[in-house]
Amino acid sequence: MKGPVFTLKGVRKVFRTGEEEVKALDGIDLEIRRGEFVVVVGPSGSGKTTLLNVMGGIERPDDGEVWFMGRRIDTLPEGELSDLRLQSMGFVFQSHNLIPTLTAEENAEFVLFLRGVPAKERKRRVREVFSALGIENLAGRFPSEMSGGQQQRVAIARAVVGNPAVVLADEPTANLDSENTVAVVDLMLRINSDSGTTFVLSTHDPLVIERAKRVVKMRDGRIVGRG
Amino acid sequence: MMWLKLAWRNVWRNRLRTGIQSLLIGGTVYVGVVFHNLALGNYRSMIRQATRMGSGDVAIYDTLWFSTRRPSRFYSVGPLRKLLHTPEVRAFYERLYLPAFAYVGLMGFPVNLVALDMRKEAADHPLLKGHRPSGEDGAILGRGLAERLHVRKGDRITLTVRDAKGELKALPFTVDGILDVPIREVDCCSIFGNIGYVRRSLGYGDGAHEVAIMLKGESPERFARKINRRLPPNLKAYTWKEAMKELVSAIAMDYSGLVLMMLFLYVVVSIGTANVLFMSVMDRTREFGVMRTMGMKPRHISLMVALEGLLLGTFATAVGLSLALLTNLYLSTRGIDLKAIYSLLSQEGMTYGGVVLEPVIRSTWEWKGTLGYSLFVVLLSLFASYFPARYVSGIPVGEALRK
Repeated sequence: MKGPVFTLKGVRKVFRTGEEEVKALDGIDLEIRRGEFVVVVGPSGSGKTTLLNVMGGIERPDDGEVWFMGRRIDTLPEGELSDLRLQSMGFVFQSHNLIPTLTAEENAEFVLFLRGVPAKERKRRVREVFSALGIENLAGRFPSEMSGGQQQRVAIARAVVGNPAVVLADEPTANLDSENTVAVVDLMLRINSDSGTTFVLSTHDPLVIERAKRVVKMRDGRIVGRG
Repeated sequence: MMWLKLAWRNVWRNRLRTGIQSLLIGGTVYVGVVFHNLALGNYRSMIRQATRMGSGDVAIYDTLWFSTRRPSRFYSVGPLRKLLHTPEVRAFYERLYLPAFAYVGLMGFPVNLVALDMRKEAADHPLLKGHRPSGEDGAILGRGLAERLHVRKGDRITLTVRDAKGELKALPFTVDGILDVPIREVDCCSIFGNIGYVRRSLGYGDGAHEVAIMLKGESPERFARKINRRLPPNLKAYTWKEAMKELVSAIAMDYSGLVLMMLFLYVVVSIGTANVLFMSVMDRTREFGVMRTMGMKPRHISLMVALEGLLLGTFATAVGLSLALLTNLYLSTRGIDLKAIYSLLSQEGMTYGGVVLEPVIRSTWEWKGTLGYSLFVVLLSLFASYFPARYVSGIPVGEALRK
C-alpha cells in the first residue's frame, strides 16, 4: 500500500450557535492512503460534511492535527490553503456545484485557468477529460440546461481535470435517482482505478456504500466503525 | 479574458436589477453630459454677448481706470491703432464713458454717456445691431430713460458733460432710437452717442477710455500678454475675465451649483450601485464558497466583484454617453427655444450677471468635461464595488458553503 494522503490525529470541531454547542467532530483519528476509494457513512448530523471540510482545509479544527501528503495543513494560512486546494484537491458537492454563468466546458476550464495553464492547453485537457467521461455532448451547456445527474458528471470532470491527488465528494448523489447514482459512482470508481486518484465520499446512500472499497462509519462526530 | 467573461455574465444574471441600475447610472451620465454642455453653451453665448457689449476679448485701459473711473483717465488711441492691425485682431472698438446730466426742458436726470462708433459697432454690439444712425448727433437711449424724460424718436435732448479739460459743456443730441433692454443700467441711465461727435465737441481728440478688441480665435490671455509688452506703462490690456469679474463670478457660481448637484446625484447613484452589487454577492455567497474550494483566493473574488462594478459602470456610461451625444448634437444645432418661458417671466427678456440672455440656448461640445464626467461615473462604479468585494472576500469558505 502507498503512503497516506490524509492523516487526522485527535481532530475536534465544535460549532456554537448562541449558547448551544454541537460537537461536529469529537476526536477523529483517521488515515487515508493514496489511491483509496473511501466512503464515509452515517446519519445526518454525524459529522461527515465537517470531516470532509476539515480534510479539504475548508474548516479549521478546534483541536488536533490534519496532515495532507506529509504536510500539516490545519495551521496553514488561507492563501496557502487556497493554493493547496487548487493544485492537489478536487471537490464535488451535493448540489449547486457549478458556476451558473459558465458552460460545462468553461466550468472545468476555470480550474486550469486559475492554475495559469495556457488557453490552448486548457481546452485540450478539458476535451480529453470530457471525452474520457463521455460527456462531450454537455460541453457547451450552461448548468441550467442540464439535469442533476449531468451536472454532477460535469462537477466530477471539473474536480479531476487538474489531476488532483484527492477528490472530496460530499454526498454527491444525494439529489440523484438510482440510475444516475450508479452512473456517477461508477464514473468515480473508474477514475479511481484508471488514474489512482484518491476519492473520499460522504453518503448515506446504500447504492454508494455497496460499491465502496473502504467504509468509515460515523455517529455523533466519532468514527464508530471501519470496513 | 476569462475574468471579463465571467464578470460580464454575472452582471447580467439579474437582468431587471442590472437594467434598472444601468438606467440610473446611464441617466446620470446623460444628465451630467447634456447639462454640462448646455450650461457651457449658454455661458459661451453670455460671454459672447458680454464681450461684444463690453470689453471685447481683450480691452485696453488706463491702469487707474478701474480704481477711479474718472473721465480724465482717457488716453490717445492713435499710437495703438497700428499695434492692433495684426492678424489675430478681427475688430477693435474705441469708446468713451462720460458721466453726464441729461435734461429736456426743466426735467433732468444723471446718465452715462457711452460714446462709440455706432456704424462700426452695429456689426457686433447686441444692443446696436441693425441700428442706422441718421446723423452724427444721433443718440440711442433706454426705454426707461426716454419715458422719464418724456422724449420720443426725433426729439432733442441736451447733455451737460465735462470736456477733455474738465470744463462743463452742453452737448445736444437727437433721439435716434429707443432700446427695450432688460439691463437696468442701460434702461434707466445710458445714452449711446457717436464717438466722433463727442470727441470733436468736447476736445477729446483721438482719446478713449476703452479699446475693446475682438479676436479671431486667439487666446485672450496670450494676446493680452503679447500686447502688454508693447504698451506704454500707463496702459494695460485686460482679458475679458479681468475686465468683467462680475460675469466671471456669476458663471462660476452657476456652474458650481450644477457641479454640486451632479456630485450629489453621482453619490446617490453610487450608493445604488454598491447596493446592487451587495445584493448580487449576497445571492451568490455559496457560489463564492464553491469557487474558493476550486482554489480561488479572496483577492480573486475581490477582483471579480470589482470587475463586475467596472463593467456595469462602463456599459451604463457608454449607453448614457451615446444618448447624451445624440441629444447634444440636436441641442447644439437646433437649441432650446426659451422665448415662451422668458416672456412669461419678463416682457423685455432675461438677464443674468448683467448680460441679456439669448432666447435660444444652444449646447456646445466640450470634450474634457464630457469625458471627465463619464470617466468619473465609471470610477465611482468601481469604487462602489469596493465594499461588496471586501465583504464577500472576507467570508470564511466553510461559512460561505453553509449559506
